[in-house]
Amino acid sequence: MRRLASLLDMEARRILRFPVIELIAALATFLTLHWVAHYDVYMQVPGGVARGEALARVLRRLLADQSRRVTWRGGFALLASYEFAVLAYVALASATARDLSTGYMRLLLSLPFRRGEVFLVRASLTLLPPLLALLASNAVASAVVAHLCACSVDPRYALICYLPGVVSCVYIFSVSLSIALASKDTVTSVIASLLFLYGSDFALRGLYRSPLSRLLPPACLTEFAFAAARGRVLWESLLCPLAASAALLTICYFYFTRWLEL
Amino acid sequence: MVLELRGVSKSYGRVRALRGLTMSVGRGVTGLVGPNGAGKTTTIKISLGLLRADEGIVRFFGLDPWVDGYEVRRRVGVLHERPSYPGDLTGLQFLKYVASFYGVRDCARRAAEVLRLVGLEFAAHRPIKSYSAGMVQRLGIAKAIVGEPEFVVLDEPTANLDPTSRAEILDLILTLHEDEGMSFLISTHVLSELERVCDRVLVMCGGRVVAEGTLSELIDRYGLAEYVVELPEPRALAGRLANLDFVEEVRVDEKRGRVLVRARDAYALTKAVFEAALELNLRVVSVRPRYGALEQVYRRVVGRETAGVATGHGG
Repeated sequence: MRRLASLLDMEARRILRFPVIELIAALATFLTLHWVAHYDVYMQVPGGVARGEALARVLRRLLADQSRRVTWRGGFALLASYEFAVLAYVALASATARDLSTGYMRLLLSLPFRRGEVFLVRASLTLLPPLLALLASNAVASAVVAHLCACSVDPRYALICYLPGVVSCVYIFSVSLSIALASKDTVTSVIASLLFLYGSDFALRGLYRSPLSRLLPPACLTEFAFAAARGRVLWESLLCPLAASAALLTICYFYFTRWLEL
Repeated sequence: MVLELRGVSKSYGRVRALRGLTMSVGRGVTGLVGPNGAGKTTTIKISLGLLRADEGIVRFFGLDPWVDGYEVRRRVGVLHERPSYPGDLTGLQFLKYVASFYGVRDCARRAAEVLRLVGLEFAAHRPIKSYSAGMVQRLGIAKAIVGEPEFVVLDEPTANLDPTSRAEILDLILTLHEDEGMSFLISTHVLSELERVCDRVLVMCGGRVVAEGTLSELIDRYGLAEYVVELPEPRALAGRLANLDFVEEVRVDEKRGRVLVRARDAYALTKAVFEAALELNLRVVSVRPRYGALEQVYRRVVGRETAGVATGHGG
């Protein structure tokens, strides 16, 4: 464990540095401010609020007894962060592609570690920073608004609301990592990841009214969040991105540990 | 034997890098030489489990490095060709991490000690990205030995180093071998380096080993072939040497004042040169091999192989 902790520490210091960590921090700060500033959109505050009323008084009057609604709307805030996740994960995954092309990965795989251990460390360092930043920024924004509205948060609903954000992150991470491993080139990895993540969404949106149009994020997660807002939990909306992520990560793991040649 | 490869082949698309390579490396310092594209780096990568052989058997410490890579790498330190390091870390930080990966007890002490051994203690606290190419090479050697491995693989260890640094690194290799019992496999183009440090040499060409043995065995087998005799009147001596039965070829370089002789017997040639000099009253400045001992072997072996390939007789 000490060896793995050392590797994690070394890789964290190497990967989470300028400009990656600054990019994630800046995006998370922007998201937090955005969600707080647009509380009326994300929390569906009815129109007709008198001008000049203090924010706290307005929120208390409108949302004091709607703690559940506040939490439900948190899910929409996470969906709004799709772009955040795409940018953060594409940037982090491209570091893996760069390490494959520069020979740094060869250095790592020549050290006394199992390939699975190196994969675990690299995957953790790619997946966790944006995910934690996203959840933290949403938690901060929710806390600020909830404090102003004097609302409480039901943990069960909070969990359901956070699920689309987590699934979104895992999906984008698995796609970006797969493309990075396959391309082994920084520029190709960035371009191909952006093309796939936005291209697949754009292509599926073309299938208007077809169930296929809501197969992948962000469309399927929007559907989940809308249903949750109406009091229904559409678990099946999460199945496709979760299955796709699991399949991609399994392939990545086996490729990295059994087939990758450097 | 520490490392054994039997009938190993490896292709990159249509390019065949290794063609049924069979070789073995024991304890001691072993040199791996060969022209560009001979398959040296591919051999090293396959030995470390970074590449998978298309066919053949590879055993490092009796283990298959592709399957049991972890067990192999625990006992082996490596310097890769054109290495890449975490540039934001200092040399000392990086070596402390590597030492901890190998389970070294006092990582800080060992890292500082190795930095001193490779002559980098003055840059211990500087980020690696500020290192010169020579310093990076020294750091790579430090990284290869900091884990106190049983066996060290060095791919072009003296690339980017000035002559003084090269000599220091070679001395370090000898010291580590003699004092700490580390064994080395050194791949290099600089043959004079191998002459200084290697117990055994493997010559690769066209993806297979074409000659192997100790340096004296190779010299006996392939002979010291070409000699240079320096004197002010080369033509007179050349005429005399050309008639000797152990002399294969004589060329005169009047501009530089020397005779180039290809001969089978070094002792007989030296004797004949000085006899002729006395007889003809010539002032011989020097008689010496045209190339270093290993370089002569290398040129003969590789020259023969490439000529064989060119005429369709190569393997």
